[in-house]
Parts: sequence; structure tokens; C-alpha cells
Amino acid sequence: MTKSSDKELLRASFKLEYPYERSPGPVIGKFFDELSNEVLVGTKNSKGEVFVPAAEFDPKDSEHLSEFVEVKNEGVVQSYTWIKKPRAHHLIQESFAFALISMEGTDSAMLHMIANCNENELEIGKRVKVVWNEEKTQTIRDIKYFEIIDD
Amino acid sequence: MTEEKKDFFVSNISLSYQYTAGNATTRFLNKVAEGKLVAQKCPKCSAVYVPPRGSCPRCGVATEEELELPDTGAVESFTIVHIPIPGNPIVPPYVSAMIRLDGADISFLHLIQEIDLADIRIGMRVQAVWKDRSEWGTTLENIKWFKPTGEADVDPSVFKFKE
Ligand SMILES: [Zn+2]
Repeated sequence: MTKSSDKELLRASFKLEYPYERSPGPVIGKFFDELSNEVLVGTKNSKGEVFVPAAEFDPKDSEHLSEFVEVKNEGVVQSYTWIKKPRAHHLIQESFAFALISMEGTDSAMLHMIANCNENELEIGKRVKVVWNEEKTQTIRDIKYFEIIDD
Repeated sequence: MTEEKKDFFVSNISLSYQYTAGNATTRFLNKVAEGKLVAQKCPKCSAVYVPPRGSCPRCGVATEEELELPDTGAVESFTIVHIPIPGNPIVPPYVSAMIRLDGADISFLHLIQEIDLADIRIGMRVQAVWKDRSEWGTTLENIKWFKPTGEADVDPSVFKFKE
């Protein structure tokens, strides 16, 4: 513990942490696995709709999905929240956006980050592409962030 | 594409926070840094609290009178921990116990070691085992653990809170 200068009260930093191991299962597992190969895969339902990230079940009618399709690593911004001043736990320490991104040719959106741009450059409908992390962990972090495609 | 699958991944849930000890706990921990266990006494019901929190929860009055207690006491309650907690360096099985210091009216949680697990019991007399003085800080971790003294057990009825 350290003494704070004002009232001479003791203070200390603590971290409360619950260890948590997650099993992604066969479908999300495959999705993560392919991310480490710098490949984005989705699943396709019987109507031909594609979900990225790969979904194990159709979110509308619960159809069990097992057909994988590879999609392009470009997409369109559906919505976003601009993070002007990142907090210590954020993975990006400069202003960035959390965004829902619909990958090209898919019928869903995925949550990720958009970086390397200014707030006024970003808008709904903007095209973005994946920037891969060099170090692969077979998690969503294999995508470092998305950046705006210059037209 | 590879057939290799990752079955599990670690995704810890954590919360970082700043703890401010407050007046009573600050005074207590500053004394612990000198190897002393200093309790506070209620001016109304005379209950003795260690660690002190600055007030008597029963009477709702500030506890300002301080008194030093010995580092001996008795086991009020205990648990033998058999399941390891990830991140906890203590290897099970070990004993976590509520220790009632001599002269105190409440107990606090600490470890008991240097004991055969089959011998642990409520009422057993224990004494603090301190770290080397050079390692002392403003923390109850200055006490490594408590160990049995070998004296006769106390009658558990003494743990009853004073009316
Ligand atoms: Zn009282």
C-alpha cells in the first residue's frame, strides 16, 4: 500500500479476476482457426444467406448450419461508436471506433474496431478492410482492426 | 486450411480498482507495519474490534480508543481447502480459518499451517508466524500464517458475542 499525499490514507491497486476458459465449439472454433490463416469464413443457410462470424445456428429460424464459405476480408460499416479517449484496457491506444461491420457478400454483421482514421472520415456505409495481427492466437484478436479503404 | 482446432481459450473476466483504506484501517495497517495488532474498543458496549473499521456496527458510534492485542488467539471456524484456485500460489490442502485474537470480539480470516490437517479444530489455540522484519509492510501478509501453540483448547462458548 502507498500513502496518498493529502490525508495520509493508505491506498492500493487491486485486480479482481475470474479465470474463465471458453470452448468455442466446432463452428466458431473453425472461424477462429481460419483467422490464424488470415482467412475469414462464414456459414451458409439453406436460403443461401451467409453469416460472419460463422454461426452455428441460423439466428432467425435456428437452422443448424454446417456449410462453410470463405468470404473476402472487406466489408461495410453498419454502425459505430467513436472512442475518443481509449481507456487503459482498450487494445488500441489512439482514438478508434467500435463498429458493426457487414462483410462483403454476407447477411450479418460483426463487432470489431476501426482504426487509423479520424472521426470525420468515418460514416455508415464506409468500406473497410481487415488489418491482420502478425502474431496469431486463434482468437478474434487475429484481426488487429479494420481500416477504411481509400477509393 | 488446417484441420487443427483450438478447443479452449482463456478469456478472463477482470476488474481493476483502487482501494482506499480509510482512517481506521490506515491506522491499523500502519501499526501492523510495526508488528503490532491494534484493535479499537466501542465506548458504549466495550466490544473490541480487530481489524477495526472505525465504528461499532452494533451501537453506531465511532471507536476511538485503541488497544494493542497479542498475536495469539483461537480458531473460531475453519475450512480445509482442497480445490486449487487458479492464480493462488498456496498449494492445497490448506486451512483457512477465522482467528479470534485474545481480547477481541470479532475474528478475521487467515491461514493456519505447521499443522496436521486431522488435528485442526474449533477452539484450538494459535499464534501468528511473522515474516522476517525486513519484509514487513502495511499489510496483514506480514503474518505468514498462524500455527498451533499446543496449549489447551478454549471453550467455543467464549466466541459468543457479548450481549
Ligand atoms: Zn458498541
